[in-house]
Amino acid sequence: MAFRRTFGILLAIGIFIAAVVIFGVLPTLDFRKQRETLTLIAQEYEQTWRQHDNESNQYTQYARLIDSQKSEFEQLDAFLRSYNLKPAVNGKTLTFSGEVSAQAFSELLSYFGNAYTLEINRFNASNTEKMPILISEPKTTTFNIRNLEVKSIQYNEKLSKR
Amino acid sequence: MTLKNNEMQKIRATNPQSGIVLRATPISDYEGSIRLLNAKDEETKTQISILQSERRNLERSLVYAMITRKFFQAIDESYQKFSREERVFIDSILIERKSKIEIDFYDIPLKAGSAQFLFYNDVLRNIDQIIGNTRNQSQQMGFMELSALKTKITVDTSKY
Repeated sequence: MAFRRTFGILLAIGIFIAAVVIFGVLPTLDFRKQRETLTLIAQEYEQTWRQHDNESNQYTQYARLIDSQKSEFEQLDAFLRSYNLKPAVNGKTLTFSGEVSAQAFSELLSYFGNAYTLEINRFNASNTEKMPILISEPKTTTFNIRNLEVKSIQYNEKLSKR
Repeated sequence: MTLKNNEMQKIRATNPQSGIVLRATPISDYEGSIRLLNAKDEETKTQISILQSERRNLERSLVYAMITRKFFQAIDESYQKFSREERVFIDSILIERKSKIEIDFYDIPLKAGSAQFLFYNDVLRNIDQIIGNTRNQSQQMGFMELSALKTKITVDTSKY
């Protein structure tokens, strides 16, 4: 009789402890784990976001620099046309081949010397005179330009914060 | 439930950007929040990778544009500086992207007997200082009663 009572009490205690573990301790441990995981991921995401913000700001600065000089390409086209030259423009790429005067050539070089957003992909120019023209000789020389290809630097507007 | 909600609010408040992302999930949904933040983190890292790649491309283009600009500036400045003392005759200019910039010219001092070649020395020093990666080949020759220097300056732009 005493044994059965003791057994019953122990069984009740066991069930009580199991209930406490199952419904109290395990959910708490599980919650703690979830909270720690979420905290870590949230901290990592903050860092990732800051890095993205820095990269995005830097990219936008370059975009602003390019925008501030965006008329260079159109000006180059207009400059060549002002000498009755006919460059071919395809989107933001300009190509030209032909003979130009020394004056136009000199101005073209000066123009390139002030261009911030023009990529000169190809430029092959040679003097049409074989040897240096005589000092003080009034004859003016010309330059033969073959395959001038100039591209305006473009940025991806979707990546810029503008 | 209140404890979980309170903890979630603390996490969102301490990490504001995560908080913005987590607005899309119920405040008590930890598993959903973890999934959502993980996905957003991966997506943002992919965007960073794209941004970095595009930025490097832009930088390469801008640096290349700077090299060509400085190259022509150096020639123009040196020419202006010594146009009274020397006559410069450009024979050819060659630019090939991802390869080289090359100028071939004659430098002729106007003063008989002078072999100073001020333009050549100045332009070479400027190009070398500003851009680097410079090679040059020179050959001095007699030209009428004057000396002439035939020179080719090459700038390596293969990295850009």
